[in-house]
Amino acid sequence: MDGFRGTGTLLRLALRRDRVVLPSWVVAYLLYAVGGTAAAVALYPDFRSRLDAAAAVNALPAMLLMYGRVWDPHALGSVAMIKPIGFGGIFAAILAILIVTRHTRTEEESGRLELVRALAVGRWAPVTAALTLTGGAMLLLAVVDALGVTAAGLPASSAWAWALSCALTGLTFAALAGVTAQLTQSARAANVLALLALAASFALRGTSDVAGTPQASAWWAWASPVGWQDQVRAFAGDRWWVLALFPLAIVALALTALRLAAQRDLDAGLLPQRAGRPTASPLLRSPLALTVRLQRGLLIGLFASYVALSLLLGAVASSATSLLDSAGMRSWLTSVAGTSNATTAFLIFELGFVALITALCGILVALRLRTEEAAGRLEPLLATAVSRTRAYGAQVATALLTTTALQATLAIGFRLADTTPQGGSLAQDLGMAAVSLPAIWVITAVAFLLIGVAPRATALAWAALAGSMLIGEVGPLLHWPSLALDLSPFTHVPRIPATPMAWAPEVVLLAITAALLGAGWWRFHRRDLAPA
Amino acid sequence: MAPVIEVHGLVKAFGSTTALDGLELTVDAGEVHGFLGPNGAGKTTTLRCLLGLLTPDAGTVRVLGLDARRDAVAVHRRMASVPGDVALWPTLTGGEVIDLLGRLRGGIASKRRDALIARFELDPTKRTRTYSKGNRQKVALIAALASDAELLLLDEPTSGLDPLMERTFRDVVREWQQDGRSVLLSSHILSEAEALCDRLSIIRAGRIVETGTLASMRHLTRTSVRAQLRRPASGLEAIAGVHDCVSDDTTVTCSVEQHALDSFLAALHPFGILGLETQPPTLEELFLSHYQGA
Repeated sequence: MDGFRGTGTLLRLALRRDRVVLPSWVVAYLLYAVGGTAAAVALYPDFRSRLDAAAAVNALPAMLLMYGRVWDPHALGSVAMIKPIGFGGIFAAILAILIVTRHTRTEEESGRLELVRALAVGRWAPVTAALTLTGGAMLLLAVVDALGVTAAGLPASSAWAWALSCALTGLTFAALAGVTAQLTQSARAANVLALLALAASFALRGTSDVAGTPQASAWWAWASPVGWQDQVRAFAGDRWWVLALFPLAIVALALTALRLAAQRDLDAGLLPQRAGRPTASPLLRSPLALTVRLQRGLLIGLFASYVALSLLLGAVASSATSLLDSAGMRSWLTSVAGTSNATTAFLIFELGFVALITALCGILVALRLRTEEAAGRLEPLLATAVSRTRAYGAQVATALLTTTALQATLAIGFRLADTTPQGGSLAQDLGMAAVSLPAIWVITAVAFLLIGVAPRATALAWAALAGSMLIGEVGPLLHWPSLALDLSPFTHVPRIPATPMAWAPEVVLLAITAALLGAGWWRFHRRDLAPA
Repeated sequence: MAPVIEVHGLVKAFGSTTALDGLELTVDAGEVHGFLGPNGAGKTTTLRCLLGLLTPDAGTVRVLGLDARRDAVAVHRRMASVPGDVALWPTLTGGEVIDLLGRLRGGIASKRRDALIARFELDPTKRTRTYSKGNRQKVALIAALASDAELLLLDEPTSGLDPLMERTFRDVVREWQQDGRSVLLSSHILSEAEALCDRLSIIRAGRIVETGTLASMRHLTRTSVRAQLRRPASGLEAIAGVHDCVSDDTTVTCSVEQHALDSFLAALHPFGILGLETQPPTLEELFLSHYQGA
């Protein structure tokens, strides 16, 4: 078939381009899954501890929403793997979406696909090559995960059921990204569309577990690929037949993608483009305004997500309090959050996790400066009467203000939605959200330091975040030495009001932030512009 | 009047490659100065140094009496530039980019902006993602030409424009000069420089190899002639101002200086002219004949 001509060559090209990125992702994924599992297996040595933990998870709507139900409280795997089961498919799907868009719409948007399609390359070849590449990556992921989790001491067949369910979830969203890449003209919009679908699938799965019974989730779980992954019930009966749903969806989506790819013109999207404004808004007259304008979509998306998240957390806290009102729950709460007040403990617990996401947002905003530089768009800006210091300062201001506003949104939304009588005040919630800011800013400032000092290695900022995440999530479980735990800025955030406010670590974190930002600025305003 | 651009002994290396190797360049106030050289000679690097985007390894770069690197912002208020490879923000429209760049330089005259948009026939409501190279170039040109700057830096500004737009571009640059303002025009197209420039500087491998008025560089403006004759010709090379003659039976190709064209054609006539093609030499050909190994 001529339409597929060139697929093999394109696949080899993609492998060549991703030879570093793909293996790093697989290794990171493996570390997350196997490291987390090994730590959790050690945490539940006997029957009793498993039942307690499972009961706690299954009683908390927030936990059901985040991770899903522990389907078999007696099985070690079902309890220990609660996080990898809850998020394994999601992480695989994010990876899959990014790979597919990178090799389809990004290539087309950059004009490289025109070069390729002018050769003896069929119109189906780019999508087919991208999906084949992702299929291979997912298979690799499944194999190393299954082997890794088996090595961590869990039953092999269940490990395979889990690993395959994650890989197939990833591949389903790969096929979906194949479709969104045909719909939109820009790669970013294609990614956003596919990720929104993933978020919707996650929400369907989460709410179906909250609304369901201990025996079954609500019916709408079956409308979501993330729900299917949960319904496989790996380590709790291994319902292999559920896996058969994935190929149906994958084939249907892939065929849709191919059909659309065959019909449309090069560079065209299927969603309509509007005409823009002929003159700039009067507000668009400073580097700060440009920064905000360029990231408008991202910022709106972030704030909308945080509003939704905070309202959800508040609502969950309201419903959770009655369930938590027992001696067993109080002691569990005290062990994870340091306070027996259910609402406060819940908020401390959730804020600790969300602070990492806010830091991620900070990095996202910061690295835009490097994206602009690499794309050559900083040059026309600096050729006007804008100094390097101003361009850098605008990005720093945007990043710091965004993270601050996101944390405030979280506290305000939570307070609005929380109806428990013994809940805290708005001032207290704002304070609880604010104490994390210096740590969030340290991570954000690492990105700025890299922009100044090592513009071609800014991806290391993600390593700083991933390291902090690993230290916070896995470190305490594995009893890492405090020296290692101290490396994460989030270790030093006082857990008010469970512990008294400590100013010293906050001041130190602020000083580190200032030093990193200053060093980044010093190099940035002196060095040559570095194209990609 | 003081020169608007003074570059002395400019050296810039990227790793082990030396892009600029002791470059000297002077542009006087009020002139259109051509900056010619083949691809990779260091034209764009020089312009980036003039913009203060690169830090020189050695030498001085003064623009409008100020240090290009240290006083970059003060310089940019009085100097507009059009890069060779125009990268724009894909989600902004052409109109938005023109306004933004104008405002960031210190103000834009909306009447002149609208007039230029009409002359260059640009649709300002389209997002720059959908523009062709020529249209992106128009955006950068309009943003620069609508400014009150005293000096204009142009880096191969017509490489994406069609011939009609190229004519508009030449008209606009001449008007700019009539207001007493200066232009540095980098190009690898000799005819473009001939049409616009008062003086030329020729760069090769990071050094200026020749600078002066067009008249003083007459030897650069030979016409290459290819003639199809009835009988094989002979003795053409004896004519003063005729070079590089190659005869292949009845076909002859030569490069002919302007003053010798008349006598050259007269000498061809006896052999019976069947066909005649003439074209101005490309800069690459000139470099091959004049500066090889320089």
